[in-house]
Amino acid sequence: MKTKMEEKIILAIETSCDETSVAIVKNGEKILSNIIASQIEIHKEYGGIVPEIASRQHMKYILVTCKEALEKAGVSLQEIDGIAVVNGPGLKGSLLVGLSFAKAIAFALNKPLIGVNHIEGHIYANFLDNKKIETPFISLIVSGGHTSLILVEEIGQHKILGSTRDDAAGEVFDKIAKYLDLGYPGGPIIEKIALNGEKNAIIFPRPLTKTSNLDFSFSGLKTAVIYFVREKIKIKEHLQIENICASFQQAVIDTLIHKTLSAANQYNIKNIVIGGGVAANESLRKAMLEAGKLNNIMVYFPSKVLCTDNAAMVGVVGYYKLTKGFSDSFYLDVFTG
Amino acid sequence: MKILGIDTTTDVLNLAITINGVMSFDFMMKREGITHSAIMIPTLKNMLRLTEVKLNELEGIAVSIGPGSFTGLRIGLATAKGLAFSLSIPIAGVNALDSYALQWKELPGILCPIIRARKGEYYFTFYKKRKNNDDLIRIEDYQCIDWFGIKEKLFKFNESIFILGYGLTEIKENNETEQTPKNIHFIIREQEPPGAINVALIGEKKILKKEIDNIFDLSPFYIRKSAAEVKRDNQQNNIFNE
Amino acid sequence: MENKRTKISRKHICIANNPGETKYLGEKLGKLLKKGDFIALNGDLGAGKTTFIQGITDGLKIREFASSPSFSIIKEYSGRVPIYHFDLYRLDCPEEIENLGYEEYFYGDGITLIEWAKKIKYYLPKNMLLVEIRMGAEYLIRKLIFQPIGERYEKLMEELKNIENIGN
Repeated sequence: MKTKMEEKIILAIETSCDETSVAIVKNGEKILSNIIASQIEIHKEYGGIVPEIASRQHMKYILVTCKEALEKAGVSLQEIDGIAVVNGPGLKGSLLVGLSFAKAIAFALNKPLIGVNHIEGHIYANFLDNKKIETPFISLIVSGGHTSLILVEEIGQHKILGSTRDDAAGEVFDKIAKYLDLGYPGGPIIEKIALNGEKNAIIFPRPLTKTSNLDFSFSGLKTAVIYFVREKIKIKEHLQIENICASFQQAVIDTLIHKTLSAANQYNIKNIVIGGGVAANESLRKAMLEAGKLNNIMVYFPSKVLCTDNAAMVGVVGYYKLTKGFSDSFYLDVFTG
Repeated sequence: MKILGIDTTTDVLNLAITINGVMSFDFMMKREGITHSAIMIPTLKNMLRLTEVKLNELEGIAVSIGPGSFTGLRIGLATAKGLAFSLSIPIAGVNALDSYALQWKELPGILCPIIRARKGEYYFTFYKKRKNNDDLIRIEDYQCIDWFGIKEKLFKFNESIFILGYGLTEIKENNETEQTPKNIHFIIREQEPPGAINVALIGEKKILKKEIDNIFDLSPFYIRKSAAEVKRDNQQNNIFNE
Repeated sequence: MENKRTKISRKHICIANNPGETKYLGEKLGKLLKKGDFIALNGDLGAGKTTFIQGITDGLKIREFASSPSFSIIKEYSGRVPIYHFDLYRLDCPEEIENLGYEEYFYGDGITLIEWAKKIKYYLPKNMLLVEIRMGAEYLIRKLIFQPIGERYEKLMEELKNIENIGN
């Protein structure tokens, strides 16, 4: 039962890349609102703005999204206890809008400002759906922009154990889907087609799995699939798209599992927390859970809706940092990578 | 009215407070290697402390919408939106060419402020003083073209023209020659950027006239070229054989 | 008015037998780059654009991974000069580049490296080093075609040729 002192409502802002998102989160676990600009209903009149689906239009959307978040949560600015904002990694021009806006509000309201790492956000998305996860744990964050293994020894402290040297896993899903003319977004489409395919029909490479190094590399896998398809086209052989999708997906899953378990082993960790857009992949979730069972490791996932970029996860990080007495100065700046 | 003026369009961070149309405080900061993003709020905080104006005494935020620095504009505008929203006060966006012209309104003639745009091109327009009063009026659209185009327009005028350019030394060096018509003067300053005081003054007038900007929509001023224009001006890049 | 007729510049060709050699070539180029340099890369998916750039960043002594910025579009590194690594793969139309403040990067104080540069061909600067990477029938082999446009880049190619075996 939380004491009055620990009750905190966080206004959270995420503008690290394409989407503008603002959320109100209570006590690091209850989402009072989680607004993504492109999803605001068209009929809402905010002086004539109709949010067309346009990426990276943060200057246009930040205020309407913030207002919508407060209204939906039934919370006024004065009731906010802290402002959490993603200050990196991401696209500088995008990050600056969110950070500058957040700082101005924090200053005007005289409330603490908390800078949040976007990847950290994905880790803590798990805390919204799962009971409190015991530290230490290893986190695998896998999305279109990131593939990283992070050691969380204590809440608020994290250490990057490995990341991708070239392509992110989500990125390769998108690129292969585009190469095969399957549409966008690639991940869900490939996942769906793969259900009808044979995952061991083609053995694509599982890069960097022969080393204890915890970095990832997916560009070799990407090239292998491309060349496989090219060869088939050259000899005019029919492409079995379902098998290609299933086998490609399996190669990614095997690689992710191998590295994550390797990390858990190396650091003697019994809890694994997955996050990021690719964590919504059902086949990955199933495989991870099975691998966890075999190795006596607990595996946690956020709900699918919280796997993609959103501000609610940022609000969770904000809450935990704030309750630990941590906040940032107004000199906080953005970082891109 | 107590107005906060913000200008982040150049390498100088400029914040100003005006009270009833009169300058109260003007603060400029330029630091190598330190971004406007890092120093904006600390500077504002310090300035308010020195002016003894409390944040909640402000009655409006005037912010330069450029043209100018891409990152600077994002910092300035997003900060202004956050402040105006939190304090529930109106916001006025001010075009940087307007505030720059106002800075030099004492000059006897047509004012032509210019601000660097894409490579080789400049934003500019012309202003003259209203007869019988001090107000400046803009006599052409805001435009963005290369220097040759601007020169052609300059020759149209017989009266004195003052070209205002912050840090545009290349304009001065290439144009202040024997051949330059005598009515054209170059006011190219390296130490005097467009200032936030004038942003605040213009902003206050707008707010008093209730020409308040839609705070949600307010975005950096930017003249886009059409795809056809971009293609026409960069034909040399038609080497990709497509 | 400027004469806008394109000067056909000489192309220089090099074969890389595997990704390691692509990267190595990039590293040699990286060591020669100066502030204001602009390298425009084109090539199909999987050709090795990012690999080549990883070599360049090695040559510029950047310690971070030059991982693919396909998602974030622009990635910045700090070296002896700032390095701006663009990946335009996700750009739906050339005009989108206008929302990213491209001028301040292209004409700024650093070195610009762009993957999928042809997507914004009319926004590219007048002078640059064009690098096209072509895949062949053989899995690992690549053909790298360098096309310097402008004096600085012709000089750069000469310097590169002096240390590497690159033919015409």
